[in-house]
Parts: sequence; C-alpha cells; structure tokens
Amino acid sequence: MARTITIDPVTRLEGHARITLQVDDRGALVAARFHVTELRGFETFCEGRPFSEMPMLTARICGICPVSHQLCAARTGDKLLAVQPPATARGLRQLLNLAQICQSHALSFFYLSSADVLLGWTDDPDRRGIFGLIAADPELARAGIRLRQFGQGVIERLAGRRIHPSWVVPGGVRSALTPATRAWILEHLPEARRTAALALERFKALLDGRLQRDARRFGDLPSLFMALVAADGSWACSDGALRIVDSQGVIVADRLSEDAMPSMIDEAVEPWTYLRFPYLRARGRIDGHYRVGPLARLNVCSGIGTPWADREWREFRQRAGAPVVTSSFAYHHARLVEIVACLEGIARLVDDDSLCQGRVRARAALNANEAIGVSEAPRGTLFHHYVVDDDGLITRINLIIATGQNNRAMNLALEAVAREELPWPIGPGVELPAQLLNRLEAAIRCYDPCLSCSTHAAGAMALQVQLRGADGQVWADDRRP
Amino acid sequence: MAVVTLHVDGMAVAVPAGAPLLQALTAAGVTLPTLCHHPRLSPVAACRLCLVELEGAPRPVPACVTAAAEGQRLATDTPALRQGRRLIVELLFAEGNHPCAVCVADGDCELQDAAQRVGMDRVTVPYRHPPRQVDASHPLFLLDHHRCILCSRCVRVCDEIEGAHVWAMAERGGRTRLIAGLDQPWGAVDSCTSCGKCVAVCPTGALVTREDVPLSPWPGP
Amino acid sequence: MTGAGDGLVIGLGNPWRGDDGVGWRLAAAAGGCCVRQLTPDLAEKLVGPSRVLFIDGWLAPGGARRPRLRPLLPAGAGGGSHGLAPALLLTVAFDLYGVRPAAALLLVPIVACPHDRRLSPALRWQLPAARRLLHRWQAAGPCMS
Repeated sequence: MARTITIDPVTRLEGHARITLQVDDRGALVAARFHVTELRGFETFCEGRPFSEMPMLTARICGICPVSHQLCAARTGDKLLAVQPPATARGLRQLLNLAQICQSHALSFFYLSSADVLLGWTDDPDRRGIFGLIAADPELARAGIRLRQFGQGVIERLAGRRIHPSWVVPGGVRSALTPATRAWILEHLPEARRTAALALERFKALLDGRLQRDARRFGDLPSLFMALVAADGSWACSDGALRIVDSQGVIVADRLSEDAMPSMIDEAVEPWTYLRFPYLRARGRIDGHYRVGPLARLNVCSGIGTPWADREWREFRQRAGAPVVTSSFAYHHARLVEIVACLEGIARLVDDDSLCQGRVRARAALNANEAIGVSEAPRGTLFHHYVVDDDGLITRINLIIATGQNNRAMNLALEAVAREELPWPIGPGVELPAQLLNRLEAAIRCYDPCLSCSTHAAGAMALQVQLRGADGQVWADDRRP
Repeated sequence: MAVVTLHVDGMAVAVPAGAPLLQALTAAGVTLPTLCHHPRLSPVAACRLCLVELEGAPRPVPACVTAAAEGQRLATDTPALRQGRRLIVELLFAEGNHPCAVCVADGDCELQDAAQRVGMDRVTVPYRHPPRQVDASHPLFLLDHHRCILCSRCVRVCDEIEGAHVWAMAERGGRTRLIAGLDQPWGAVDSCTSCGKCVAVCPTGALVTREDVPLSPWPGP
Repeated sequence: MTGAGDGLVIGLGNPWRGDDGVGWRLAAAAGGCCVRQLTPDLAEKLVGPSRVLFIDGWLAPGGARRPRLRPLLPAGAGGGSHGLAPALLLTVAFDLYGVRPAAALLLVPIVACPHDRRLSPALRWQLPAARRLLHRWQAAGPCMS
C-alpha cells in the first residue's frame, strides 16, 4: 500500500514549503518532494512597466538578495540600451555584488547553518541556529554577526540603503564611490578577513574530524554544474561567460553567452510545486538538471584569481579527492571560500581611488527590443529576460532564479538523506529516527534556498512527520515543537 | 487696495479684499495640504483638501477659490475636516495604483506628503485596482496613468503658461482620464513643445522624465 | 542615549499598531533607541552603557492596570532570531561580549493594537505613571536597577 510521509514546516509565514517522502506498496522510497506552495507571479507585475523600472521592481522579489536582482536587471537594461557602462560603473557594480555575496553567505553560514554544521545535530532547540553558536562559540558568533554587518555596511554606504537601494540603473550607477566610503571599507576589511580565517579554521578542523563522513556523503549526487567564469576561466560574479562542467569535471560547454539561454535551458513544471525545474534541453529533463551557486562556481572555475582564495579553492578541491565536488554539504565550505574571494575582490577594487572618479553612467535611448542579462547571485546564476515594445514597456519577461535551478538537486538531496536515515523498506508502525527532521532540513539548507527566509526559524520551527497509509490512517507520527 | 480683517481659528488676520482664503490661512500661519493648487496656476478646487468651515456657510468651502471678506470666521482644523481630508487622500490612493515602494517618485511626491500630513496609516476604503496604461511614446517623458490623480495641473500649465494646450481630461466620473492631443499617444502630438512644464508641476509620479534618454534633459544624477 | 549618564533606553514595538507603539514612543521621547524587534546584532549596543532599560507594551494576564518597572536578569535561550525577548538579548550580550549591564524592564499595560498611530484612551491615561517610572529609572544611580 502506497504511503506518504509529510513534513510540514509551519512558521510565522505559513504554507511556504513542505517535504513529503513517497513510499510504494513494498515500503520502498519512490521520491522525495520539496513543495513550494506559494505563488508570487512577479513576472505579471512587471508587464506594461518601463524596463528602466526593473532594477527597482525586481529587487522587491527578495529582502535578502535585492541587490542581485538589481544588478541583473540593470545588466539587461544595458543591453536594451546597447551600451557598455563606463569602467568605473562596472567596477562599482562588481563591488556591490561582492558585498552582497559576502553578507548573504555570512547570513547563511553563521546565522542559519553554523550550529548544525559546527556543533552537530541536536533536537535541543536552544542549541540550534545562531543561539547555539552564541552559547558554544561566542568568538565565532560575534565575528559572524560583524561580518554580515560589514557586507551590509558596504551596500548601505555605496547604494544609500541596506535593502532595496535604487542606485544601480541601466547604463551604470548613480554615483561614484566616495572617499569616506572607501576609507570605511579599508578600515573594516582586516577584521572581516580575520573572521573568514577563523571560520575556515574551525570548519576545516571539523572536516578532518566529526564531519568527515558528512563532507563526502551528505546529499551526495551527480549533476552538471553551471556558473559564470571570466575570460581566463577564473571565478567571476559578473561580466563573464557561462561554463558547464559534468560531475567528472569535463567541460561540456564553455564561453556561452547568456543570449543562448532560451535555446539552452527549458523549464519543466510539476503539478505539486510552484517552483519550476530548469534543465539543459540537450540532455533532457532528468539528465539535464544542473546545479548553480557557490559549489557550482568553485567547480566550474579554473581558479579564483586572488592569492588566499586560490589556496582555499585548491584545498577545497583536494579534500574531495575528485576533480569536482558533488556532496551537497560542500556548499557550506564553498560559501566560506567565496567569502574569502569576495573580501580579496573588494580589497582589490578599493586598492586605489579609481572608483571614486570618472563617468559612472552611459546614457542612451532604447536600441533593442529584447535582451537577456545574467549575473551571479549568492545562490547562483540569475537570468533576466525582457522583451519590450518600441517605447520600452515590458511585454514579456522571464526570470530564472538560482533556487529554481537547484530545485531538482534539492529533491535528490532529500531523497539521498531519507535513504540513509530510514530503515528501508518501511512497514507500518515504523519508528521515525529522532534526527530525520534535522537531517532533511539540513539537506535543504545546504542550498540556502530563498525559502530559507521562511524556514530559518531554527528550533522554533514546528516540524511534523507523518507516515500515512493510503487509507489515511496515521502509522507513525513525529513532530518537533 | 481695500483690506479686510477675518478670523482664522480665532486669530485675526488682514488680507486684500477678494484674495483667496488660502492667503488668509498663510497669513495666520496655517498650511493645509493641497494637491490641485499651484501658486502660478488658476485655481480649480478639484482636490477638496483645502476645505475649511466658514461661519454661516451651509457646508465647508474650498479655501483656494473662496474670496476673503470682512468679518469672516474660519475653522481649519475641526474633527469633521480632519476626517474628511483623510478620507479624500484614502480615496485618491484607492482610485489609482500607488505602490510607493516601487515608484520613482517615492520620497518626492506630494500625494505621499499629503498622506503623511493627514495621518493616513492605511486605506479604509476598498482599492479599485483599475487596469491602466503607461504612455511611453514621448522620447523624453513618460506618462503613467496608474499614478495620475487628475489634479489637472498639467492641463493648466500647458494651457496657461506654455500655451500649447496638449493636455485635457476625457470622459466623466470614474472613467475620467488625462489625454494628450486628440486622445493620441503623447509622442504623436505635434503641438507638444517638450518643454517639461507638465512634468515639473505633477504632484505625483504620473509625469516623469524617462531614464533612457541619450542626455538628461535636466541637471542631476 | 538618555540624559541619565550612561544608561541606554530601548523601546520595543510598532508605532503604526496602536498601543504596541508605546515602548517606541516613550523611548523616542527619552532620546533612546527604538526598534520593532530585538535581533542578535543589537547586543553590540549593550557594550558600554552600565545600565539598560527596555520599554515594552504588556498584554497583561488578568488585565493589569498599572505600568511596572522590574529588574531584569539574563535568561532564556534559542528561538527565532527575528524577535528576541529582552532577557535573551542580555544573555546574548553576555555570551558575545562579556557585558552585563544592570537591566530593567518597564512594562506598560496595553489594550488594543489596531492599524492606527494613536494610543487607546486607557493607555493614554497610564502614560504619566509610565513616564514617572522612566524618570525614576533615569534619575536612579547604577545600583537601583
């Protein structure tokens, strides 16, 4: 008799996501499904609006990564104007993106994942999330909170406000770096670097110890990886070309322009979730799934391009013992390596005062009716695709976001964890292991999906697992208060 | 010039006979929120935000078009007036589509200022969510009907100062809308001189400068 | 900062939701810091001041009528990171920075939290008493709270 195990995270924002484990008649796991039950329909809001409003409008998609949408929207706008923003503006946008990736990764690692990763799995709600870290390792917690403040501080000083700034515009940015902001960044960089070093030291010590098994096997799955790389193949978060590698590290596509996206990527739709499943057309819906984000960026690039980050990147790959790192757990380590890359990148950009002067905006009238922009958001490659009429009003828009591209991988990671944690095949009256909830939640958190906004209330989150027969009878029930 | 004395909220002020009551209010140090009023344009008393109570009058009168006369007694801040002003602003928000968060005029909008002045913390009347359009046919400027409150400042400035008379109101009641020329796309109206006066007087983000112009028509970022 | 030496006043609440804004208002009037919720990064503010006063609205069980000023000790653990209890913020401040300012909590009984900036008449009637307690805390030396 087919059964379904449902895990319902009920947070202050209800009904965002739910996990079900599908069990067949013989008690074997069929599939794990991560349901996203909210529809925002953001694309519809944008239709009929001037494309120049897109940086401001699409930023409202998210309060964690508004900057990423702005940058991508502005990049798409550049292409509609058919202009190259001035060098100063490109540098300033890059600075903003590095600060954004840094603050978002700090939030993910220190606030959301640190306790699970650094302190081990526990059901004690007081020991999960940031509070677990504060109690166990105040030095690291303090540093992590300050690191996030640093990233937000750069954004706030550069763009006028921490969340939803309106500083990035098609053609460039609104203002240059002020000497005061440059001085502030230079003053605070050393502390941020110390924090990154501390976190890496603690994390790597655990990789050699308690986390050894997790690091290799947690949510391990083969997949393709996609990210932007610079012209020389090094790590890039904007102004690059797309590269795709497979899980053996073979480059299957390189130097792809984002303009190839519509012919390259299709999006599958499943009836049980609003989140779409992008895949590479050439490989089909199942084999064509690919991962994006910190892990993908480190897997596809051929180096970072700054000394410390390069060392960390080499070690990151060596630890996996394979040309490409495939464990979902490695996303956490990848985030820390990327924080180093961001800090070194920021240091390089503010090393002289070239971003404080020069033209910051190229002006032009509309010169194209369709454009695709791409940029690397903290969670992965972000595409904006606009079609506009001759007056510049949006007639068609498609946004391909990082979380969507990792959708298939998140489901497969859940499946992998469920296979490990439950005594398959499952029969009636099975005892659900105490840590099943934590491990499934942790599998999702590796990908730091935007939904983590709604599901990050660690410990306070009420989780429920039910094992139900097809007749609706509850065979096993476990919940976390 | 004859001078009349009248009382604004109990304070005696002197203004030229026949001057609009708004002038007396200013003399008394009272500033009311206004949206259709513009000091350089003829008054139309469209927004009704400057209504005041005039002793002896059967109903409140608009201060922008009512002439000052000797011995008048005005009340500008009664509970009924406060309630009425707030309701008017709420109705303006409910009538169009005004998401301040993503509006280019956010922080520089007279409708937003008025809402803050009257203490509007939410809209208590149902939103209409009207399906409206953006007219982006002009090479320099943009008309966003979603944000238009039909104050007619643009109509008057174009007629009275620029003399081009590009703008007019079409239809009636809830369907009233601003039209350019003979209900043409703005960019197709030959009489428009692209002077930008209508953009300058627009109290909301309905008439704005385009971002995608080769050169910014005005100094600024 | 308040006028009372190195005491810090933190008001909690939403000024757009009726009585819920009472802590915000009192703290603003006292030159303190106003927040909608306590988050872990606020712990840094507790480094320096020797005394801290939290002011919050209080939906009192059994409908208490009078504002109360009581000393506050670090307590609690865990929960979401979006809305800490004052006692938990003290714990976080101690754990992170090793500081333990003498803390007090001023609770003002609230009645209704509609979408409105105004306070309910019942609460307005309590304001003088709440202000007196606030002033008493400000005037007292470090030992009082």
